[in-house]
Formats: sequence, structure tokens, C-alpha cells
Amino acid sequence: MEFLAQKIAIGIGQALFVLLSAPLFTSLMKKVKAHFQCRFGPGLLQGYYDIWKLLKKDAVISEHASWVFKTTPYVVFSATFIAAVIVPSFAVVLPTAGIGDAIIVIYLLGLARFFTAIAGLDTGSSFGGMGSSREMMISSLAEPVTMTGLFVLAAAAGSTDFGGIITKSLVTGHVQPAYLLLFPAFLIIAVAETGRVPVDNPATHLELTMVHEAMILEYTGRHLALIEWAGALKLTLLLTIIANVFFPWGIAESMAWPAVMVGIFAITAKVGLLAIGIAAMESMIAKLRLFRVPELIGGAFVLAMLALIIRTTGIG
Amino acid sequence: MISYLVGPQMLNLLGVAILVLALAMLGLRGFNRSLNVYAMHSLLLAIVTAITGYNVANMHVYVAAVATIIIKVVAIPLIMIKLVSTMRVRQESRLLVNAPTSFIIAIGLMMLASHMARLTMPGQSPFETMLTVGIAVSMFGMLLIVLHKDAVIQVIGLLTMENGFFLVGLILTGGMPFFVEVGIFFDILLTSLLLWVYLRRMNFELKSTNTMHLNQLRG
Repeated sequence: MEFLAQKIAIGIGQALFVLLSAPLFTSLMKKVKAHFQCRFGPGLLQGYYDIWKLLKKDAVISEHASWVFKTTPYVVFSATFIAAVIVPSFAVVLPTAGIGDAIIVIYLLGLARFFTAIAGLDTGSSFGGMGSSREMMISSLAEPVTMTGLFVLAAAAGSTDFGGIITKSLVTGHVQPAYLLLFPAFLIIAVAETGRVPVDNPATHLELTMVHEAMILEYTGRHLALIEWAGALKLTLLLTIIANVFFPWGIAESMAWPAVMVGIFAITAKVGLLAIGIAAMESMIAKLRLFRVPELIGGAFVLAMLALIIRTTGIG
Repeated sequence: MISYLVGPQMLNLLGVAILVLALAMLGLRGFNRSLNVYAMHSLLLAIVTAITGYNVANMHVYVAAVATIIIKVVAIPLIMIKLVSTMRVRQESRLLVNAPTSFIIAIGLMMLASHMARLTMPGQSPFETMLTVGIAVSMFGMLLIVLHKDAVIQVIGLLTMENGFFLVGLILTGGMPFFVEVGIFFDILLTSLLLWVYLRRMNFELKSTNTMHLNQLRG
């Protein structure tokens, strides 16, 4: 009985942890970027203030908007949140892992993306539709890479469950050739999926080059808060997958409290470092032209495909 | 056949790194960047050569590693970068097909290479990896020559191809006889000298290194 109580506590803890830590990492990235631009930048708690402020505000909805526009923020937020709960962050064996595996996570993110795209079209502004069409182009390129990469991980672990995949990384210990190829591929995908610099610019509302911001341009108040929060959750989720699959150190293998504490500290540090790295990379390179994006993601696809070949021929 | 071995895991990782750099060359268009990547590629090759030298306990394989560093990591990239910087041309190559297509062709070639290595040396972990990488790198070099329109990148493709052949030879024989190795390096040096003259001449005659412009030379 006590064991069950502990399981429930850890499950709720995981949900609260991803929910509450997500805005922190986006604020951290903003802070690092500000540092590169010789500014102080907003504080690390700014992400929470923004969401709190927006949640209190009323939403302004166009009179031409249909139910799609109104339900989208809730669908996007809940789908991303469930996906984030499935991915193990501080402990390998999660009580919430029973909800689904890696494939479910991809489909949940796909559902969120689909709703964001049709909501962009819904109000009939040309800007939103442009963003939707670009987003669909990028995601149709990025999804095969994610799938191929997950197949490699699943083939190595013999399971599509994230717990199994991370256990495999923990057991093998040394760096494997296939994983060496997958790491840059997943990093490119994380950047493309969350709309960060070489693919999209999250900091602007003015340029014609923007993708994600163009789709959500019409959202205000509490709807905007949910969408922004979902964006932060998605970023945290992808970085958590990368951190735990490629650098599984520190993750709690049992459900004892000290191990869980170390696990929470380790995942915060790992995701924080990855976020700082991506923000630094963002500050140093320029955004790609839209028609050069397929080359970047094509490169990621080749890396994932080579990892698959290497894995299936049994070399690495 | 090499019997005693240090760090098969290390060799596997190096092999994958060599493969990734060869792929990077396939994706790049700028002359200077391609040459820098070629230099790094050769450096990794020199490390693999040195490890093989340690495994077979043979002095002249070390000599080959040092010669690789001097000729392929320092000398050839330096003279090429110097030549390219004096040319008043577009410092970027164009491809016959777009980059994603060339990547897909590369995946096919990689599968072929893996199959060929499997036929030659079934199931011997580091050898099979290195052989796959060697064959794949020589085919990627060939792909560079075929797909790029620019002579500078084609020269880099030829040099990449040679790196692949060197790797295959090294893995299959565990270090070739000394005079054969000297011959190979002399060959490479002479080839790059000839290609250097060819590029200079082409740039002088056509004010471009695009091979598509060569038919302007018809009288």
C-alpha cells in the first residue's frame, strides 16, 4: 500500500515537475541570448510572470472564428502535457509510463501541430495560413527523421518504451557509433520542431520569415498563455528526451527518495545545459532561407538513416 | 590480417566520424569550408593509421601516419586554400541535383558499401566497420566528382576518394610495404600539383572554375 502511495506521488511529481520547470528553460534561453546581445535581459522568472499575466486576461476572438479556433489552445496544451508526462525525466521507471510509448509521444505532438495549423487557417487571415503551410512543410520533413531515429533507439533497446530505451543507454555505458550519429540528428530536429533560429525565429512578430508565430498571431489572453506554455513544454520534452537518451547519467533507477532527488537535480542541470548550448548556437548562426531548410533536415535524415544501417548490420 | 587489436570501440567511433565528415563534404558548397573538412578528414585518417601501426607493431605504418599529416592535413589544403583565395570567382560550387537528392544517393551507396564489406569480411566488428567506411568514402568522393559542376570541388572529391582507398588498403593489409606507401604519397603529391596547375590554367583562361564553361574553349 505504501508502495502504491509512493508511485502515485512520483507520478504527480513528474507531472508537476515538467509543468512547472518548462517556463524556466525558455526564460533561461532568452537570458543567454540577451547575454550574447550585450543586454541584461529579463529575469529567469519572467516566463512565469508572462503566463500568469496572460492567464488573468480575457481572450479577444475574431467574429469569423469557428469552434476550431477556440478549442485549439486546450487541445494543444493537453496533448503536449500528456506527451511530456510520458517521457521519463528524473526516474527511469515511471508510473505514468503505462500511458504510452515513443510512438504515442510522436502522435500526440502531431495532433498538437495539426490543430495549431488549422487554427492558423481558421480566422482567414493570410498571415496565419502562410505560417500553417510553412509549418506543415517543415514538419513533413522533420517527422521521418524523428521516426527513423526512434526506430534505431527501439531496435537497440528491443522496446519502443522510453524506460527501456534509457535503460539500454545506461547499461551499454560507452558511446556507441549509432548514437553518435543520432545525437546531431535529434538536435537538428529539436531545433526545427520548436521553431528556433536556423529554421524559424521565436523572437519576432514582424518578419515575413516567421513560421510558428505567424500561426498563433491571432491568439490573445488565456488562449495565448496556454499556447506559449505548450511551446515551452514541447521544448522541455524534446530536450529531456535528448538528455536522457544520450546522457543518461544521474537519472533515478529506483524509487528511493535520495535517488529521486539526485535525478531531479541531474535532469534540471542536463536540460539547462542543452538549453544554454542551443541558445548560444542560435546567437552565433543566421537564420536559413526557407528553401535551404530541406537541406538541413535532409542532412539530419541521412544521419538517422546511416545510424539505422549501422545498427541493423550489427556494426555498432 | 591484423590479429592483435587495441580499442575496437575506438576504431568504430573513428570510422563513424570519418563517415560523417565525408557526408558533410557532400552537403557543403563553399570552397574553404570543404577544404577545412577535408583536412579534418585526413587527420582522422592519420589517427586510424597510427592506431593500426600500434596494433601491427610496425614502424613504417607510423611513418605513413606522419606523412598523411604533413601532406594531406597541412600541405594540400594550404596550397589549395591559397590558390582559391587568389581566384576572382564565385567561391561556391553548384550541384547538378539538389542537396537532398544527393543525400539520398549517398544512403544508397552506403547500403551498397555495407553489403560489400559484409561479403568480404563477415562479422569482424572493427574491420567490417572500417571497410564499410572506406568503401563508402571512396564512393562519396566519386559522387562529389559526378554531382558538382565546379573543378575545385571535383579535385576535393578525387582526394576524398583517395582517402577512402587508403583506408581500405590499410584495413585489408594492415599496412602496405614501405615502398608502395612512398609511391602512393608521391602519387598524391604529384596529382595535386597537376590539378593545381589545371585549376590555375582554367581560372586564367575562363575566369571561372565551372567545368560547364569548358566547352567555350572550342575553336
